Amino acid sequence: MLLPPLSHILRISVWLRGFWRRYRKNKGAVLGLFFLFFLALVALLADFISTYDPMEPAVGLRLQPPSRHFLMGTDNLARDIFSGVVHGSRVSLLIGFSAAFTAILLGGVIGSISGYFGGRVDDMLMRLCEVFQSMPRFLFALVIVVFFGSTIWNVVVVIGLLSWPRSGRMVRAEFLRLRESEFVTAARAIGIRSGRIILRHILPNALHILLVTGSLEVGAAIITEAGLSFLGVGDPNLMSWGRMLFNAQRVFRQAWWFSVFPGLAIFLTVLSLNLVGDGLNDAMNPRLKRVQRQQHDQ
Amino acid sequence: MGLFFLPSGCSMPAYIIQRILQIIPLIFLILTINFVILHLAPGDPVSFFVQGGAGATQEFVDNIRKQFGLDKPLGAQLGIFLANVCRGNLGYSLYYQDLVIRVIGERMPVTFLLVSLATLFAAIGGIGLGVVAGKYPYSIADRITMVVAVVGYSIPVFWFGQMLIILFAVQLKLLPVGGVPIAALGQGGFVDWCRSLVLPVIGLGVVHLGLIARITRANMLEILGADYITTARAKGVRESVITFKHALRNAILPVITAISVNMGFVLTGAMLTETVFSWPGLGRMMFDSLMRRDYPVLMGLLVVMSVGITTLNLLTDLIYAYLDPRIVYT
Repeated sequence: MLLPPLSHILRISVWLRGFWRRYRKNKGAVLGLFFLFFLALVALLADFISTYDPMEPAVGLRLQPPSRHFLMGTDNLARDIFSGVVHGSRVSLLIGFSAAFTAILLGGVIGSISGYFGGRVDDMLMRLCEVFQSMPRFLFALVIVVFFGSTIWNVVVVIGLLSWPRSGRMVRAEFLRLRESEFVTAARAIGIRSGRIILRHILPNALHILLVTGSLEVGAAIITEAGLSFLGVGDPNLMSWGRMLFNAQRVFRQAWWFSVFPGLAIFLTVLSLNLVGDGLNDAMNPRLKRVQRQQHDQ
Repeated sequence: MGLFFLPSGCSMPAYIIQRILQIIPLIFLILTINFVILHLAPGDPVSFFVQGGAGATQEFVDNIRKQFGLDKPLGAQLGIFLANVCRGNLGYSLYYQDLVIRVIGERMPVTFLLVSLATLFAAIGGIGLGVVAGKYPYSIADRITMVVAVVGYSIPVFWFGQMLIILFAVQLKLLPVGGVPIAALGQGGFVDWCRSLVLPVIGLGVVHLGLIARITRANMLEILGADYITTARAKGVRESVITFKHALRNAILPVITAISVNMGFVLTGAMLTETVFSWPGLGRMMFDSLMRRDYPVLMGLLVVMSVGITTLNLLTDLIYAYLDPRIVYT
């Protein structure tokens, strides 16, 4: 009972093998995936990898260049930058994935309702979408976090709330296409309720869209969080990459290592996520044209 | 001639009016959201006006409450807020001892300069790269373009700025670190002023350039495969004419949309870039206001930016409609 039937496992493994064969063609995507695995490992084992407590001041001298003791140098309070970068991966990954999950959950729900029912519901939801898309996302996030406090979960909720329109629009488009297809008409004809049709019949066919936009949202959320922390409104109790760049802003002209390493970590992570997103898109939509990126992530 | 393509009973002016009418409720909604955020925020709104509020007597607080209509019900307050925004009254900043709208207005040109130069740089560079890449797909130029594109939208704009400073200003000593706009024109001269613009404009522009290049490339690829291009080639039209006159003119419309859709992103990017380069524009002011918790200025910036971006999108729609006679005005 605990194991799914063998035929299921076989079918999934066949699908996975085909998927991997298509995914593998995109070298950048494979590289990005490896980097993300590596990063996840670093985040998991942060306590063992880091050489010092990232928040602990005065572990050495202030603003020391990289050396054998301090692999990435020390910052203005003589904290170890290497340990900060290692621990920062936790914050970035946590915020990135949670915010993206919130965004695609909201986008998925709103997009499927909008696309399935159409008409006035669709009109209203798409207006709402327009409102959210015309708001300067970063500024709104900034003001809300300043007003409501900069805990990590506030940051997650705000980024998630402000980021759903992209996935919402894409899911809607897919639902609009699929709801006219024969299997949906058939399901409706035998009297299956709308909720079940949406969840069991259409949604599985639109999942790849959530996965692709989701991977792009993670990168976008990480950059947004870094930007917030860079302006000094991130969670003050956590060492994040953006926060390190905020600390570095006054002194990076004298101490290049202070800003190079945390920024490089953000850049490589977001780059990997974008490469994986493109790879997923190619591998899951082999026949469809690549979903065109019209809007910037930040 | 353009009117020939329009469906009967719908003209260009009618379309313009209709779009403007559509945008009013949108701006109204965005402003309402601004208002709701301000009121949901924990803490007495009076403290937004009386900073700290610690030394203020009850009488003074009550006075301010009355003066700003904070003793009225929420609906009435929303009305007052909207009326004030329509009149251009965005509140008063105690720090600057001035109206918020005037404080923002003073710094607007500096930010506007940075944003327009960066957009121009990104548009020229991005379209140029995109055309070459679309013309010669899978060539080295194409590969470089695609790398620039993916790096462009993965790099945090503020970190890129810091890296430019470290490389070009600190290590190579080629260019000045910070922006010295307009005010320095009299002292340092025009050349110095231009030199100080280079790094911020590149820092903000490159991030945007990648996306434009990618969209241009995709559209060029699609259009260069169209039948009418083959026809033009068969007729013996020169390649340069085909590329620029036949293909690019058609490929450019979606690029214009993308540039407009991303103006909000460029504006917020400008705020971060200004912080890095100590550029005395809106972004710098926002950062300083954050540090001193100057809420009226922050709210004012939010209102100005939201309305600005919405208006800009409207303008693009209108330009688009003007450029592309095939658009059906509904």
